[in-house]
Amino acid sequence: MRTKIAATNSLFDVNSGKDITDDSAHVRTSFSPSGIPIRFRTDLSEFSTTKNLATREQLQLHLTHTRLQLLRGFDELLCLEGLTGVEHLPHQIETVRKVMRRFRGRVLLADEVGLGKTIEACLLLREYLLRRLIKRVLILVPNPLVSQWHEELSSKFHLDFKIAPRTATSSRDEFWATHDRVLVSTSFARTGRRPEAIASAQWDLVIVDEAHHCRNRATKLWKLVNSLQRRHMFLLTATPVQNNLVELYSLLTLLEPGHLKTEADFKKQFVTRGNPRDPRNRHRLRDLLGEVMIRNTRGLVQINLPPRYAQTVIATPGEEESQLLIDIQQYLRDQLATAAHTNTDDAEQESPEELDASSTESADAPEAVGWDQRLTSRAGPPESTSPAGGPALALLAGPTLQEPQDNGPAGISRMRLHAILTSIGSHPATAAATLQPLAERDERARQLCERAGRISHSAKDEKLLHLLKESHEHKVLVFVASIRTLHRLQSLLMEAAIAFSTFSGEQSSTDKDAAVEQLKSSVNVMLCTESGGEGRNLQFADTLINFDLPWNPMKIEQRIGRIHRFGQTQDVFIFNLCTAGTLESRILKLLNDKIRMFELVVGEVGSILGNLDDGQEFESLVLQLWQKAPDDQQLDADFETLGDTLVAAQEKYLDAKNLDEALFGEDYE
Amino acid sequence: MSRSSVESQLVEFATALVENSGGIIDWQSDGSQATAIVPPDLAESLGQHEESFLVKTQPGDEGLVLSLGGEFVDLAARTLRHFVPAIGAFAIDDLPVRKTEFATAVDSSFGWQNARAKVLDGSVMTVPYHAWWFHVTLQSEETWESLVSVTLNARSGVVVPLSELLNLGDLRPAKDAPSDSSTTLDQALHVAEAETMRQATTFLQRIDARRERDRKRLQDYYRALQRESSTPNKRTKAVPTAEEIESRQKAVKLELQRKLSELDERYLFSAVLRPIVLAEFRIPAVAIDVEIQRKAEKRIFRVYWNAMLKKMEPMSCSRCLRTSFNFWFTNDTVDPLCSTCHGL
Repeated sequence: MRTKIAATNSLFDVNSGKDITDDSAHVRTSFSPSGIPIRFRTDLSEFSTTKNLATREQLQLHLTHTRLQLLRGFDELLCLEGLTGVEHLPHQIETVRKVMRRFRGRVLLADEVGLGKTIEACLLLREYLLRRLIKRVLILVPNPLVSQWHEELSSKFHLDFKIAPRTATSSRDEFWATHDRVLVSTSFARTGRRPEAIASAQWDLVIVDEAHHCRNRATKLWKLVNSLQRRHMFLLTATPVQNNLVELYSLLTLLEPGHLKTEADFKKQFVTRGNPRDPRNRHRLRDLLGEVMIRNTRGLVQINLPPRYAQTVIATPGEEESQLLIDIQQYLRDQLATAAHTNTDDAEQESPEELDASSTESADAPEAVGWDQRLTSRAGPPESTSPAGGPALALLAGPTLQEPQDNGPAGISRMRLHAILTSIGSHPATAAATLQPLAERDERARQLCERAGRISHSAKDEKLLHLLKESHEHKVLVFVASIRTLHRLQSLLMEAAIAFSTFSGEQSSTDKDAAVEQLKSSVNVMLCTESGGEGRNLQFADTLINFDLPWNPMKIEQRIGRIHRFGQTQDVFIFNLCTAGTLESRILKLLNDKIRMFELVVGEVGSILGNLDDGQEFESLVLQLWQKAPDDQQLDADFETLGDTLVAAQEKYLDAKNLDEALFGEDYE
Repeated sequence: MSRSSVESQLVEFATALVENSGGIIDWQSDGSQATAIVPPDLAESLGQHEESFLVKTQPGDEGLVLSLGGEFVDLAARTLRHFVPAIGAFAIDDLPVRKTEFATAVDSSFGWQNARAKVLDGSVMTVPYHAWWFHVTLQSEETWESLVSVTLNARSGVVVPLSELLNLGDLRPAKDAPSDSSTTLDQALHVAEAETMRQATTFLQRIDARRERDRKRLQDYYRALQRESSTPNKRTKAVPTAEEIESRQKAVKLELQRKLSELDERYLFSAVLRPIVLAEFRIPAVAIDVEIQRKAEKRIFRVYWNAMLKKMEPMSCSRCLRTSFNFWFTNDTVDPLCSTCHGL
């Protein structure tokens, strides 16, 4: 060492001949703000050994190199610039830095539910892409989460991903070789010829969401992920261990084969004989896990939210409204029955854009992706899936439902069917608008449309006014799914002389800011569409009214997450309005009674739905149930079965969660 | 910083590196890749087997791939060390120097608090200034890095607020070697350390907070274990004796101490300063001798009027080395002290 430094220091002897070889002379100690000693040392070994005098350009070359080194050092993250609506928390930034620096892009992200694993993964993805460290990315997620991932990647992180089409194209090697960023559901990826096709391509980064599905090395999914040619991999799960410790071994073997040696070695060292859920040598295991796994817990990152209270408010419709609801559903059922005898070529074919423009007026058009995906599937062979998701899914996978699922009733596309059913759950005025295109060619639809238009005040209108008057001391967000409902409520509140602001996808960013500021300073009510304040701080509000209810529980959770989030200091109150007898009332009952959704931590619904192994998107399941049931009695029975499936998925999740808490607890980072 | 700007920085840097190390590089018109032809030792330094090789920004098996994530930055460090000098000397000639009014300049700039000062003489001369750049790395449970620069008057050792000298238009390369750099290195390191502490405040606070959080986590955990030490055995239901409880609690306490000690070790900071570049700038100045009389003792100090700054340079405190224009002096040795050190 001394020799090396002496040689280096000959540089400094050009004139003086002084020897500064003793680098200990340069050791000094300072202290951090809390008194941690900081030992300063000088390292001359990197200094250029060239004795010629440098030109200005040569000196600048050295400085540029150091600046590049600093960029590589990941201390300044590039990914935080230009995000939309992403409220990244300190522990997420810390995780990104750790993964870049310490884990070298191979990590099991095992944060507790609700702490933002997806955000962390997307920040990392963006950082790697911005630094050009990666180019080709494959994201594998459970089917129910495909739409949400796609939407968030696009709208928040400005990353466009191709969803693998449900056609024969996806079975060809070329598809996977030519698309650099692909998002695909795990159930779709692991079946047919697709595993070989996906594995034939080289990937810079593979992300696997809900990675506990890879816990068994005998499964197709584990084999698929293991077979992928990849440089970096992020496995995301809040519950890495579901049943026994060998699952953890299997997961980590995907990340770093050999890190935990062989399974026999692992069992011998770390698993208590006779109890595969009980670890031995915890400290050693923890150290090993710490090299490949990050687990943030609420205790660790000190995010403890105040309680929230949910209440369902059932609005009993008057005779006219009640009869209208029955008649519209009957009309749709009659159309469905007719469809069974009608050539499906006659079925109404509308693009999502046409439908959106004509009637549904989805406030933020958030579902376009999911529906587009299903429409695409019409053109290709049906996906081969096994009914492993529980009894309801097995029921739904049967041949009787395949036809209506793909085609919908004659004269009504599946999208319009969904739009009409959700609109009658929203507001009669919205239902009238949604029926309008049908009314132009169907007398019965026209009459229904007229009747819906005549109902000036719905039962929910009255309940809403009552709730707002009761909540006059609170800041209230009223969420609606449809822009038409939003307009209707604007009129309603004006008539009732209730001051409010409006936040919708129609507005400019400045108008949205003004709406939030108004709510903060001068009014107590803000009418919001689905995007309701994303990326804006609304934690000063403490009450949320779901005037209508999205069929997708994740969207309901997103609404709640607008105010029940980091930074909220007050108790949060949620009121769910629904009209008796609608599908929404059944969904609400299902989510409330079966899995007590409104008491769950934000993020847990995704984990539960992710456990519907081969599951379809929840809203798709609901629509299928309605299509299949000939009457309300059967519909109730089918919802009960779906509820049992959800309960089973929740139990599976809770069991795993408890085990993971016991294993990793607060003592793990 | 956008993706394209990182990429263009890499391309620009690689081109300059090859050209300054004795090679040539020719980029295709679309900028996607280049061909480099270099001497054998440079090729080896850049990790290439042939004297002619591809340089590109897209990942691939062959050639030199320019990316922050790969080995390029490390190869470049090695190449810079062996092929590109890091010490330069430059002159800045054409600066007006006011010799006549130096006495007024000294009087109006300095405050001699407990001594008499007499301006003796001033002479115009070229003074060497050393600009040091350091790559600073602060390592704890995480790493923080920065590039810190310090410029000093090589004669007086005083830090002067001159930056961006390397970017000056009328910089003339000097033919002879720079003056003794070791005289300024110590002072430059001292100043760079202080600057590091200032720049890294947020990082230091973050690590401090994490250490505190981890300590609390450990303490809570082991306190809980202490509380449990008196609970009966779950399997046998046997209630522990007082001795057993005391023994368990002692063991838990020792374990906690060991853990906390390990934690402190893990969070220790070590900082490394690596000199990257030394540039000497020869700038016209007026050197002014000032006689300071403290009681019966007299001592002559030399101060400088800087033609770049167009004002007097400060002096250094003899104790803390901080610069100042306001001084007290010790009785016997007439050492200058800043207000802080004088207060001590």
